[in-house]
Amino acid sequence: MLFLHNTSRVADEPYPRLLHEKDGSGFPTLAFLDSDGGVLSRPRSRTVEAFKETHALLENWLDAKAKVDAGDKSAVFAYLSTGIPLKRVNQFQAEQLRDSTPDLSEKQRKEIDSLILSLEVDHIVTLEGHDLALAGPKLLAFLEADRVPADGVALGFYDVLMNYAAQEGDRKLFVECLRASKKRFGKIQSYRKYFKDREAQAKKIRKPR
Amino acid sequence: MINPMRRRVLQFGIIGLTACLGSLPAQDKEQERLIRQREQKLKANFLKKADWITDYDQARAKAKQEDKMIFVYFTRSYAP
Repeated sequence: MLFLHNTSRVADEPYPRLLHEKDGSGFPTLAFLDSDGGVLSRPRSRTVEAFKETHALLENWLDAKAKVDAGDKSAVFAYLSTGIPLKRVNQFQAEQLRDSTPDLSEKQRKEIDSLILSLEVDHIVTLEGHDLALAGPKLLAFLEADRVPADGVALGFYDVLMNYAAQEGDRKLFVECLRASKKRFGKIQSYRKYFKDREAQAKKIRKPR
Repeated sequence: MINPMRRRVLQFGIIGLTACLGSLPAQDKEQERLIRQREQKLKANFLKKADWITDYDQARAKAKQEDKMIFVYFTRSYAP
């Protein structure tokens, strides 16, 4: 179902604050809503691939959710593996459901653990990433424990750590994060400038006096 | 002879009334401009390529009836 909302200051315009009500900011904003108008998810970018990916995840999650709600434990893996990336399942709910489902295979359990780790790290990067004194040591502990997200969340993980390393004058940490990030994301065309700038920044990092 | 205080109140009253009357057509013109912009946007070519619903109530009712999700596209006259 396609719905277009043309936000306008026309006096008789119905729902003039609809974008704001759906937590949107800026134009254009894209989102998937349920039939009551509740926000289900947003595509990660404005591309056909992102639309298809989010749409498929949502279809599978809604299907699995109906089964889990009806007590079907065989749908728990599908529910978590779609619901966590969509942020429809939080860390606490995911861990609780994982621990109360002994039928999950070892491979499934590892996959869920990896998604939970991404959720945990994404939470720190998104909500605390601007506060390096808070987020930096937390992410550093993840790095030291070899707990690095396996998906795209790793880009933000290394990015905040590089900011933290630059602030602390820790060139070794900065370069370690830059290398790891470049190894995983360096081939993506749109990140070329980002890595070039980071490499230039690495040369200037000094211990603060 | 008019009391100076009453004269001042009267003068402010006339200035205020003139300002109100003067701003009404300006507001109307601004509304007309916004309506034109809205209509122009709704005629955009990309909207002809799919079956877009522009009424929120209708979109929700149809989604409920057909048991579907809604994909919403928020835009405005100057945005893509």
